[in-house]
Amino acid sequence: MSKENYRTDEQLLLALRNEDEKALSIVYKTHFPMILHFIGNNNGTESEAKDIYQEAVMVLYENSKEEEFILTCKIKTYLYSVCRRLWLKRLAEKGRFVGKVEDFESFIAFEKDETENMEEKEVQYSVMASSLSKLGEPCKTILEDFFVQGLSMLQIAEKMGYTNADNAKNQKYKCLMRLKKIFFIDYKGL
Amino acid sequence: MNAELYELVEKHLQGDLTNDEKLKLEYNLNNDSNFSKEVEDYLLLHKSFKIYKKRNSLLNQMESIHAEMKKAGMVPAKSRVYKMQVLGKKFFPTIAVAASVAIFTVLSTFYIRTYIRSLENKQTLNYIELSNKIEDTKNKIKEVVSDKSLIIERQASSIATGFVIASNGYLVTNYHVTKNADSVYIESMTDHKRFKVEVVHSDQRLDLSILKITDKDFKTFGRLPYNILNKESDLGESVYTLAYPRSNMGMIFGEGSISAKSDWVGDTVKYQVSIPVNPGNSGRPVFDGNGNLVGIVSRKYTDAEVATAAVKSEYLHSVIDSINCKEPLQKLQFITQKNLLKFYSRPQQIKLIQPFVFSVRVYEKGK
Repeated sequence: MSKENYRTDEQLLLALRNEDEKALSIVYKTHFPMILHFIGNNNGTESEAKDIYQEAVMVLYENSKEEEFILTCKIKTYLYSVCRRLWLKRLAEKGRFVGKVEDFESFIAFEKDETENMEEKEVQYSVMASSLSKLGEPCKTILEDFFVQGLSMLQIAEKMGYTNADNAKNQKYKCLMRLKKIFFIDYKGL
Repeated sequence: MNAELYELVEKHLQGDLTNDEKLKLEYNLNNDSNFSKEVEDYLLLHKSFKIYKKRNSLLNQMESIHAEMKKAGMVPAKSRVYKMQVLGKKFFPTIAVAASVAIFTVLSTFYIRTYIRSLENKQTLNYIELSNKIEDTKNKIKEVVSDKSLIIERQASSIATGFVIASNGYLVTNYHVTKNADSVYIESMTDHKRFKVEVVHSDQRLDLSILKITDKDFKTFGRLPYNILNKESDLGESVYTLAYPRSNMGMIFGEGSISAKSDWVGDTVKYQVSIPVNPGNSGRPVFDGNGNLVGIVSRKYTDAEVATAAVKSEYLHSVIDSINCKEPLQKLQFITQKNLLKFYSRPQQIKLIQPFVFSVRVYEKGK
């Protein structure tokens, strides 16, 4: 695999859209140091920098799949802007918001709907994650196997030790109802 | 929503519905408000699952990339480095000022030290110079003091001749020689012994002054070989003198005759003697052929005159007598009245007389 294909941001973005692993790796490695520097200079630790950064990369990644998404600036600037916003939010949560962060790059301000969109996805993810963990076993495994792994009912029946696919289906239905309950308590609560 | 209906929804999402199932689903959706709500919820749930799935896989990917990065050393170890950088930036102005002050202080201390050292060196050099000058001066003084002859040569305002008249330390020379003297020394030309003398009697009229040795080390001259004649000599008498015109020349012999019984100004206390006149010849003894002392040369005339005047020895006698009378304690010892020299030849006489003839050096004040 040659790197020459991924010179420009445009090319990288296209590759990301196609879920090219190599492109992801390049983007990730290229821009992390800058974010580490930024977070580090603004009262953050390395692990915090990693978390923020991965969130931002995810945002970029998911957006690249959207048809309407057109990147008008550099990937660097975009990632920096997202990280900056996320970090400010995090600092506010921590109660250590000093009103100002030290900047090292230029950044773009996000439209309200853009940020809302990002945040909505974030919420859905986190609530799902917490609900699943609250679900416990065997439901968590069944549901993850079906929805995340994409296993067939037959495979699940075999794995979980059910007599047939229909039994597994039933079980899945029950787990799903439970999950729905938990999920919406949390979700609505937010 | 019951299990059956749920299955329909699932199938729908997968696009697996048969026409009949489709119709059933639509029917329920339209007529059962609860159901539609529930379906809505389920769809949200489904969406969340998708997000969940996608994110998880992405997270896993990123984690492995991150791990690669760390392994390759692309991630700085500690975030403390950045904290230090932040602090550094905050305090940079303060640190800069402090550092500048420190550097300035150090430099100025060095400079001041160097300057003071140079001053000290200068002082030391001056001191050394001064010290050397003092040493030099000391040495010169030592030189000068140790070399008396130099001093005396240079400073003696007059050099004349004198001779012994009494063995206990009395000599005679001219009055004009010692009249302004601050101190007088005599020096023997045979052994270069030097003695300090004092003027014990001066006679201006006769131009005589009597000297006495003041050195404690002096004992006696010994018996005088010559006799001081107590009468006038005859005209035409053959005479000779001995003198020290210069200290480095030794004794000078001169001879002549008594050419007149008074000098050319008519002074009867003096003979006129035909002996060459030289400077420093004042006080010369004049002997006759028998070795009697007949006169003392008195030089008081200008260099133009050729003749020499000598005080008659009988007047020396009278001077001596007057001393003896006046100061009995300082009695001159006249041992000999006999003339021992008349049987000797002239050169032999001279040899015997020589030790009793001295060079007289006079030091005047202010010179």
